[in-house]
Amino acid sequence: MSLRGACLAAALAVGVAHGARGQETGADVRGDPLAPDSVLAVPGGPTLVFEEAAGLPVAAIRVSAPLETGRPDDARVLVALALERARPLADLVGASLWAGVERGRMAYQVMGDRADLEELAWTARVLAGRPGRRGLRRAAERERARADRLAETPHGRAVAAAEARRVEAAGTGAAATGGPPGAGTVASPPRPGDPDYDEEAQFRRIERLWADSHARDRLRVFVLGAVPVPVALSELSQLGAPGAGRQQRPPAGRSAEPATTEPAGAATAPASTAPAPSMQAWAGAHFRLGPPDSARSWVAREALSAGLAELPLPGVAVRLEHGLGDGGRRLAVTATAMTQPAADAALAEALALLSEPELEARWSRAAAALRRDLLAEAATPAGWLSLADAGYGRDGFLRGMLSEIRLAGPAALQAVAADFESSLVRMDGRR
Amino acid sequence: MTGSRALGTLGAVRALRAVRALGVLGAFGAVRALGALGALAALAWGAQPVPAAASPAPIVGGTSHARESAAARGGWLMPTLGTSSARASAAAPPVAAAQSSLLVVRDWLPAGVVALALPAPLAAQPADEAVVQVADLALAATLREAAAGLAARIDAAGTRTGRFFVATAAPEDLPELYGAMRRAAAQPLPRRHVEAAWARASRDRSFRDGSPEDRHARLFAARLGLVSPAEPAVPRLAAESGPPSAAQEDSALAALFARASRAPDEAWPRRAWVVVSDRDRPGLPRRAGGPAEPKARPAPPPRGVRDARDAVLMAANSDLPAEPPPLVSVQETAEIVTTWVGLGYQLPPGTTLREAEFLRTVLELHAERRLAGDIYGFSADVGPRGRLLLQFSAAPDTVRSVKAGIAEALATASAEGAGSDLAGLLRAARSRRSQRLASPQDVARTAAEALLRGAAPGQALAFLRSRPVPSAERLAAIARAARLVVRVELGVP
Repeated sequence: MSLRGACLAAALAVGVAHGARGQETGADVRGDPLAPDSVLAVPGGPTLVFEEAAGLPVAAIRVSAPLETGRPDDARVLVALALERARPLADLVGASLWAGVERGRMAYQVMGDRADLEELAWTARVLAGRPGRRGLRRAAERERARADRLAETPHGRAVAAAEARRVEAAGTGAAATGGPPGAGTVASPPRPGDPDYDEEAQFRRIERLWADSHARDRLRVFVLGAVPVPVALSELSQLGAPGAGRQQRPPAGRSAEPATTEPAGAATAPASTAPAPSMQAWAGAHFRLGPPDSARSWVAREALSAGLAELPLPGVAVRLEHGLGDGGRRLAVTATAMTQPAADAALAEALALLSEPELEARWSRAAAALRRDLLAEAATPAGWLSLADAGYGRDGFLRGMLSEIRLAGPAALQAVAADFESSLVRMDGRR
Repeated sequence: MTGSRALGTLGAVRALRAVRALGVLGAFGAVRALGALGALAALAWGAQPVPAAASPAPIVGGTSHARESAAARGGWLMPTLGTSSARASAAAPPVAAAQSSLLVVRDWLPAGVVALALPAPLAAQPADEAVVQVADLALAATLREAAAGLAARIDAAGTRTGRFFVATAAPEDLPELYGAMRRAAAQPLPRRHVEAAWARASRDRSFRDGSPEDRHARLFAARLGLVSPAEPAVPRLAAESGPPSAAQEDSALAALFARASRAPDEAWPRRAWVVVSDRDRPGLPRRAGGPAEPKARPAPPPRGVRDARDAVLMAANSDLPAEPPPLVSVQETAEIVTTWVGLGYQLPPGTTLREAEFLRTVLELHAERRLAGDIYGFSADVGPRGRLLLQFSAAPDTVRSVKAGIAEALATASAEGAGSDLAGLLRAARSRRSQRLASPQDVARTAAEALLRGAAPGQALAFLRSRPVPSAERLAAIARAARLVVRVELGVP
């Protein structure tokens, strides 16, 4: 069958949803830099999101898959294996690669000259393809080193704690280790260097994770550049794992998205079983500021960050962490000092920045800074792909977000403060 | 593209956009089906994307053969040192107006850009360098203040060619942003910003003093004739906790303050404004090729400061030796962990900037692939006076092999023909160049840098849009003719 014939056949099977999301939400998508030109839902295949981007010298492809039931550490190893497989292909044409776990999704990006589209699409297929054993040990060791590094710092332990809560909410840690779900602390499976580490078992876990999350009909593929739709269809509709991911939802008891409600538990949680830093005292807390990727939570985060920079806290290191491995829902603040009272006091001052009056004092400045940064990010291909994925399903995402940021008033402040107070979990860093 | 294919393209695009417009009416299911049909029709016609507007022909001054060849290669001549006969054919490049303005129109533009580029100060005395450093910090603060109501982000950065103040904002805000920035650049810098910049420059200097990378960069730049070998001393304020009072300033400091406060338009008559927009908008510069802006009032650069473009033109026009200058080799001993190396290669006369950039990228790719384990902090740059500048650090026991690796990279670039690695590297280099022009900020910086190097607006635009890769044969010839003229090493001998 000729390419045109193949494309014709493919098109017959394709549902085209131009501006569909705009109609669903009633949002006005005109002029929204993040509203794509077209969205195609290939039956049994991925959702293809096209942005023509005429005149751009590059073409860029992003593939993202939901991280719903797997462990974030396994997801990072899966992504590392994909990068290792794809690197030689990308090098052939000088394409740049990026892959990672962000906002609750595993994402891969490849960008290169627009004339190299076939090679870029091939690289994208390899990135989203079945993992192999090659490089597994090395990737798993790097992941262990990362975990060990995290355990050495308070903010790292906040990251680890957030990931543990996500694993617990999804029940995957228990599934992996045989422990009961919801047990409060989730035992990690053995890692390289542990006496009972089993490389084959980890590979099977990663394969299962790939088969579930990378099922074709669960993938989102974003194509940016002057790429003919037929070519993109023929090159990109067959990536990922065959299977019917949409029909095979996660087993009962595991949510399709990372849980929005937190597991029931005390407002003070043990930090983790990892060794605490021995030289300094620290205090920490993690919390939510609203729905992820909402204007109010982003502005509140910006306001908190600006407030922390202004706090006169000599001798104390205060750090804000976001993008935790829990789908982007929670933020963490840690304070490290020579004495526990100093760390506790600094944390209290930091958290006080999330009271309504403090938020109000910084809101408009934070909103302006956020608007600037969002626009600047959206102007780059990589930033556009990342933001478009984050805002997927909400047409008018950037314009909507920008106007929401401008208009956010007292109700938004109240909602942020309420979300913060109801979700606050303190971490005990006492030596 | 044939007519029917073009129609197919237009049909596809219109169908897709019509479907989106229809969708607003709310008949989602029907629209979806219509959309499928529209796309289907487009696919059956073999739809191709609407091509970008054709690149304008490069505007190249002069009639010499060398210049025509340069135009054919999509570049303009980069004035370099060379033989007198070569200089005759590679006559002086077209001289842009003292102030250049360029509008780059891009169809896909989530956010637009306004960039102000000022030339890099050249061979300034330490005090002059301090003035520039402070003035830049103050200018960035002034521009941020001027654009405060427009949700514009302003980033400042510099290269060996220029200093760039790049503002990113929504496309509809560009005219207002451009106006605000131009007005700000025409006024003396507010005293409070200069004072704050002075304090910050003093802090930065004390923080950076003694870093091996900084020391080597200064040594290298001094041997290249770009800066004074002496450290720029940022005079300390008598009272750093607050703004200086008149009594606290000595006369020299007061003079430096006055120079740093000068309006950028007055201090830097050769400057470039570049706007990257999605279309022509009232209030923005006219497209390249239109009537030129009136020349700015000629004014001398700050005392003791010449700009990089002066040097480029000087190199092309003045009575320079017929052959590349002899190698300047400097080895300075320092008890540091790694050895820092800077290499400056003189490119042959007639090399265009595009060719130089491709050669730089080929060397960069080679270094990344072959030397990745042994080399740190590698950078390659096309510097003023037509020189290719490489800078890197390596462990003392591997420096010799890394230098051999760099020589091998040049040999690789010199060897075109069957079985050479150059063709593969050129393809990767094309991709890397495209990626460097992917964001409007990068487009603005690249265009502004070209203007500062002496390109006319039309040439800068052609440079941005030129797609063909230079021929391997031509690039190999340039690599073979490149001569090492400066080598500076810092570290354990």
